[in-house]
Amino acid sequence: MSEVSDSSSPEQSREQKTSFFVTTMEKLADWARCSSIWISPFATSCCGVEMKQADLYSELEHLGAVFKKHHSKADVLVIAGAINGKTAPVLRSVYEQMPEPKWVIAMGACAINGGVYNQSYSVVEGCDKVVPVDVYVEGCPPKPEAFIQGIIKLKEKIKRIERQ
Amino acid sequence: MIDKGNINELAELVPITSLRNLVSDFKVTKGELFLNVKADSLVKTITFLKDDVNFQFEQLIDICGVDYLNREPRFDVVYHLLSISLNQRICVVVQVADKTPIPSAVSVYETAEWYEREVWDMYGISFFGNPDMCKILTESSFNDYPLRKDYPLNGSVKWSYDEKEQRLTAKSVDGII
Ligand code: SF4
Repeated sequence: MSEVSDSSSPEQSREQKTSFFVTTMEKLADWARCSSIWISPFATSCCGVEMKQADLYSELEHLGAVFKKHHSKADVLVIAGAINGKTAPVLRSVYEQMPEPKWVIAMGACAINGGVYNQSYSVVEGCDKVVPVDVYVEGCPPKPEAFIQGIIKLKEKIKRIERQ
Repeated sequence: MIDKGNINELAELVPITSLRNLVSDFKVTKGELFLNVKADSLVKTITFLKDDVNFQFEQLIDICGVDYLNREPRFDVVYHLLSISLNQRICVVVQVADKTPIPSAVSVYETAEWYEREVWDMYGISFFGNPDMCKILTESSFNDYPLRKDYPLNGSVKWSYDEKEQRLTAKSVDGII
């Protein structure tokens, strides 16, 4: 109100500024979700360093992605590193404790299919054996830019969700 | 007192101290002194090495298992000791057969507890006197000893989530030895 120019009355200027759009509640919710991605890191090995490196880039906050300390407040679980038989139950319960809707990013060769430890006795051959994965970010380790690209892909996926 | 860092002078002390009754064999190879001891004199040996003024091995660096598949007795347990005061290292080697417990070193070096648990986890060599003799690295449902030479390289179980049963299941697979 205070910025109204003296050439027009307050009512006129409000009318000029008012506009509207039609959408559905789901689309609005998806738009909100893809614009504020709260990430919970599940970093078990070296890829975790690259993930935190991406945190230092300002691009991540431009995309609305923020790292959260606890998974119960997050929408996206980023698995960075190898999952072995001992961490697999932990990963599953972390995933189950996250509120719906939730998405999972597998970061690095180890999380995708076991990577260099693929034939090892203890490493799970891909975290998609344990939790459903939405986006795979490849590399050993992936560059921070690749992780940011993964976030962009996830945003596209959230927007394109088809509802029954 | 011996010269700092001279392993041969340390080796010369072995036959003239009370180690001669405890050690069955010793040798210097590649700049390291190896003492072979029997399992029942192990604790006495490392206690002596820790307390004696000529040795002063204050630190236990690591305990390792070694699997010689076709030898009898099958396993070696190797204790790596470090003397900070004298700048020396020493290896104490115990030969042990399969399914034979050996005495724990926890009463001498407290740090031995986790090392022994790791040896138990990887080779199945158990230690009596360890206050918490359970698995440290592998999951509790895992019943094999992965660093044994006859254990398959790619393991014997694979984990996956079973949608029907709603829990993680370990499926047995054929191993490649
Ligand atoms: S993919 Fe490579 S960098 Fe990433 S956790 Fe595995 S070994 Fe480490």
